[in-house]
Amino acid sequence: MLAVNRVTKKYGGFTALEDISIEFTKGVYALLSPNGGGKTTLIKMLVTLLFPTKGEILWDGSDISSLGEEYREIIGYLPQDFGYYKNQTPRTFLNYLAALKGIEPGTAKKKTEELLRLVSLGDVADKKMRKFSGGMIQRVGIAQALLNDPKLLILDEPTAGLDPKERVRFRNLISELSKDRIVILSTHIVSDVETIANRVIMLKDRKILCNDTPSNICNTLKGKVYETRNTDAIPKPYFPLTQRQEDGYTYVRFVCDEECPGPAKPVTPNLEDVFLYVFRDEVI
Amino acid sequence: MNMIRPSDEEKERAVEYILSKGLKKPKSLWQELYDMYRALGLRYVFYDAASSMGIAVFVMIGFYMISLMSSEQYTNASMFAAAPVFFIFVLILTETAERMSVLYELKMTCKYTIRQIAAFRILCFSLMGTVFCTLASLFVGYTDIGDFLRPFSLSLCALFLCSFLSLYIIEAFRKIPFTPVLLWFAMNLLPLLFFGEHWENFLSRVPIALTFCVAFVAFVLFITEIKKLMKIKREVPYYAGC
Repeated sequence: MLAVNRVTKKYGGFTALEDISIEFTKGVYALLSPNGGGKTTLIKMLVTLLFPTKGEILWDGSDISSLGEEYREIIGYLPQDFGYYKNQTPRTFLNYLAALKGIEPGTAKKKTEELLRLVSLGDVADKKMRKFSGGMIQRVGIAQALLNDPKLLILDEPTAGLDPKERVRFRNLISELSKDRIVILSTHIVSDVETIANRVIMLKDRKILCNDTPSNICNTLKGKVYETRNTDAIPKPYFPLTQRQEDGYTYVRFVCDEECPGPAKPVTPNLEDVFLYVFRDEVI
Repeated sequence: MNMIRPSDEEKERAVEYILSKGLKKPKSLWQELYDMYRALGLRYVFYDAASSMGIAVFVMIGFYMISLMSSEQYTNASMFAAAPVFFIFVLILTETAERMSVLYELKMTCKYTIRQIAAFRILCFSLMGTVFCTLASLFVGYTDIGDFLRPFSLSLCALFLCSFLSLYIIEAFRKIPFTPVLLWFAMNLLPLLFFGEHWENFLSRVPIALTFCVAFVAFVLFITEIKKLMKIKREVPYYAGC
């Protein structure tokens, strides 16, 4: 189990995170906040690139910074800006990282083949990565994070650059992987986590706003989300969420704190509604 | 009483078993380096470092040629100045390349971090420096063993003093770039430039045993710095919002 205990992170006078406490057991955890909300700082502390200013992070009861390589052996990490050597092929790149992760060459070779197939890069395993699309590079990044079969998989904005088909495949992969490990992923793309996350952790104003299941989080707006194509007829003050086109009409989805009589229909709130409503001061 | 007593072998096994369940004995530096070598091999230890090493060798050869040819009467001072050139340049070039590498962050989260690999490399670079110093000393003192030992001991002294102090000041003054070059300039080159003849006279009279002793002490201190480098835990520079 991974436990974040009352962690605060400061950069000089700027506080990035304050008094954060979370417990992670098997399953998918999604960190959700707008850009600059502290997700990456928290993730960097979880992978020991940064240290908490206050508090502690424990893996099975031991401080992760004192565990050293013992902890690094069980993590898989995909950074937000995933770097790679352009002149390398995915196969040589994965073999190189496998060596850095201390994986035996024989095992590394097998694991590389398996992962290249898993992320559908088997056909281009020996092509230089300089010609790869953003989505292909991201898939190489996901593969490298899985090389050591990590007990703790930490992915920072993993779906950035993936096309819709790749996104679906990624979600299925994460669901499969989370059966026997902790998967922590940060994103500001709500749709990515709605279906796969067991718990969603929202960060606001440097603190945890909520840490709950997606359905419980959606229920916080139960009975308050409506949809209409005629916003002029809404009598109450309301907060607009999203718009969609249907049959030549523009439908507006909105939140109204009080019961909203008139032409608007109540709809089931989703995570995106909650996200837009909670971060209404920050989302453009 | 008829007690069944365990044999020494059984006792030893039991003790080993109990110890294996308790605190783990920390690995020695050499064990860590050996494990790293076995896991990575020289290919991955020096991955992406070939061009830096090539440039450093080129600079070193150039410096030896210029200093030895332009000041033949200052052989000892030139050897003292040239000995750390390879080490200093390869250290700076490889460090800069790694810090600017797009993979730096990712490599810091692997079992063998780039900092540990750098420590291994630095040790190898100092050993390569020793080989270069030996070859250069053989070149200038090939006629007589006495002519070989003095430049050889002075070179080792300069190399290990510079190696130890470079690692020390890199840690102490992390935010100031190129501190090892400044150190080399101040400690090895300036005395030759400012006190040419006096400096040469001093170096040609200092007892060889003393210079070997200083070199040995500096080597021990250098190894201590390598050990620290292997164990050090430091944040990877990062700024909020990046």
